[in-house]
Amino acid sequence: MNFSYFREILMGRGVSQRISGLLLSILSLWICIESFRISIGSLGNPGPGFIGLLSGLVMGIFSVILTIFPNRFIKDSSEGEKTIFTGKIWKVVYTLTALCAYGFFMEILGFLISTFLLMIFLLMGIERQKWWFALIVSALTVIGCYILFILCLHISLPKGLSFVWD
Amino acid sequence: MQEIISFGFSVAFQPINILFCFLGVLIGTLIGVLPGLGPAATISLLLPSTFHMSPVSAIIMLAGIYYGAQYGGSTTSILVNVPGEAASVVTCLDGYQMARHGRAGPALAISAFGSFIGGTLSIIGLMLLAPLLAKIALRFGPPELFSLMILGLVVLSYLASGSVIKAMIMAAFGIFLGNIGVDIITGKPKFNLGIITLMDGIGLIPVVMGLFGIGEVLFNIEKSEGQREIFQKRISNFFPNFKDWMESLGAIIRGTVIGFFLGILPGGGAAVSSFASYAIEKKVSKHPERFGKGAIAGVAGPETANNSATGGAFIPLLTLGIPSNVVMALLLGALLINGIQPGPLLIKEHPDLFWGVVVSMYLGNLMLLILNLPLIPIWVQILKIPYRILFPLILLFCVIGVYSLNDNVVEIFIMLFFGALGYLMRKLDFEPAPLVLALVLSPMLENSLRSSLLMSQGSFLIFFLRPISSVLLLFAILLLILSVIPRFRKPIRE
Repeated sequence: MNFSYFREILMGRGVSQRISGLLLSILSLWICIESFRISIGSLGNPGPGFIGLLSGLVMGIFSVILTIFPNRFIKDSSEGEKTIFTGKIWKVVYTLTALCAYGFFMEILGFLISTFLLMIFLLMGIERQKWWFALIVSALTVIGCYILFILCLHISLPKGLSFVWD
Repeated sequence: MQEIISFGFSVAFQPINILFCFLGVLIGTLIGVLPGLGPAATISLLLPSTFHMSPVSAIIMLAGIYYGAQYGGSTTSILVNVPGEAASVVTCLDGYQMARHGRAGPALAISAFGSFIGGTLSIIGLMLLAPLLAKIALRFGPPELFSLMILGLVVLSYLASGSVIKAMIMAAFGIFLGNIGVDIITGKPKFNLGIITLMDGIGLIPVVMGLFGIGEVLFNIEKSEGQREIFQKRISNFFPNFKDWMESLGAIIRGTVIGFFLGILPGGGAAVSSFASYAIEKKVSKHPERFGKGAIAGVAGPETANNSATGGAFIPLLTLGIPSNVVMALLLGALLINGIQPGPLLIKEHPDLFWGVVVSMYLGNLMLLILNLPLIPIWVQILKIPYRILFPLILLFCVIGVYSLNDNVVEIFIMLFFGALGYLMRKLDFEPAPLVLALVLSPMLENSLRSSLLMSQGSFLIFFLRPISSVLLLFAILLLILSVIPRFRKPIRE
């Protein structure tokens, strides 16, 4: 018996791949359970959960394979050492947070004000541009968006506190 | 046939359609040049603005964006060594090397001519094959449709640049995501976690914008921008010489055939075609050692193939109503929004749409050939815009695009969720394309599976007893076995 498979697991290579495989396995288990809950019906009369169950099973089987043998399905073995954490992950987190806040406040403050604030944050906070540059670009962006999306394309965007186009 | 083509010309040459064709190819070339925003995200962004247009004009413009992007992607690959979009990745290998050796002009020119030839010939193929396939498609029942969709998902996974297993996981996940909403037969909510917005299902546009727009931007801003080495010397000698043409001719012919048939196949597309063409050119070449060092066939073949694939990709969409790739899935959405059901009866019921779009593609390819080379200095200037200025605009346009669909903030959060997911997928080498295609196919897949099992009273043998279905399904199973088993036998490297 070849014990190298078990040695590979214990060595912990491809940790990030294994974690993703494990999380996907848990997700597929949830999908299968939910599929039974909403009823899979029978083979002759499949219910609403039938295709969900099939997709959950396929996903689960392949996820388990990925969890146990992560490096067998990677072309370059050095990818097994890949880590998803790099020095600039803070940019990603801050950008996502800013976009969530933008979505939340857009209907309260209005499209124009919230867009201006978002652009200021992205240019000054994320890309560390000078304040005057960020101000000019943000103002131009807001004006450009107003002309393009509201005046030309007639897209309905929240007015909020901005009464510019009332 | 002559009358039909004349009819197509009469539709495509209406001034408004010429304008939208021009806009489409111009926008397509622009986003092809700019790294970070591909045709899928751009079409998603512009989809809401097509609500006010006629269906013919809308599809002409959106199609123009698709094949225009293939032209634009080669410019940045050759001049900057950065692919504008996925289908131009292989052009970097030899195109940039040609530029470094003072042959940027011939590289750009052969890329433009090859794209034109491939695009034009594939449109002829579309004109000839689509009506024929539409007749065959009338014989397709639920088992055939199910098997074809499964084959498409397996092919896309098999041709994935990363792991096949991961691509299959994404395909299965996409089928699940497409299932979220309300059951069409019983009216029962499915997997919606009690969120009212999800009762309508997960929209395609928030997912595509999230995965391909937001996710791509997040991935790029994490990296250092670095110095973009733009080829600075004056570009001259735009016309390839006789030797260039002789070396490229075979590649162009092969690229046209490869691209067209891979484009037809569900799961194929421009990117897959370009990779396949490059691999084949290297294999058949008498001097394979020249590839990667400035071989003109390494530019001509892939660029021809990726444009040829655009014509082929329309065939399954227009004749069967099955999208063969992500962009076609968005065009399917555009057709459905306009109340048009693509399928075997489309050519008969909407001849203006079909023939108008086909002829407009000729026109669009001609526009691109004429405009592409003279506009290169402008594209070079645009490439100099730093990414730190571009990325906030891309993010903003994505949010606006999603919000404008239904004035619903929840869809912005859905897009951001998929943006974060897209970022993680890029980091962990999970392909988004199988997920998106499966998401689109999921409702049709479920309907065809349930219908088939109702017909057969629960027997899965129905898929193997009908000839067309059995061939498609057996091919899918064979591909799956071929892709998985050799990897299990591979010994572990120390």
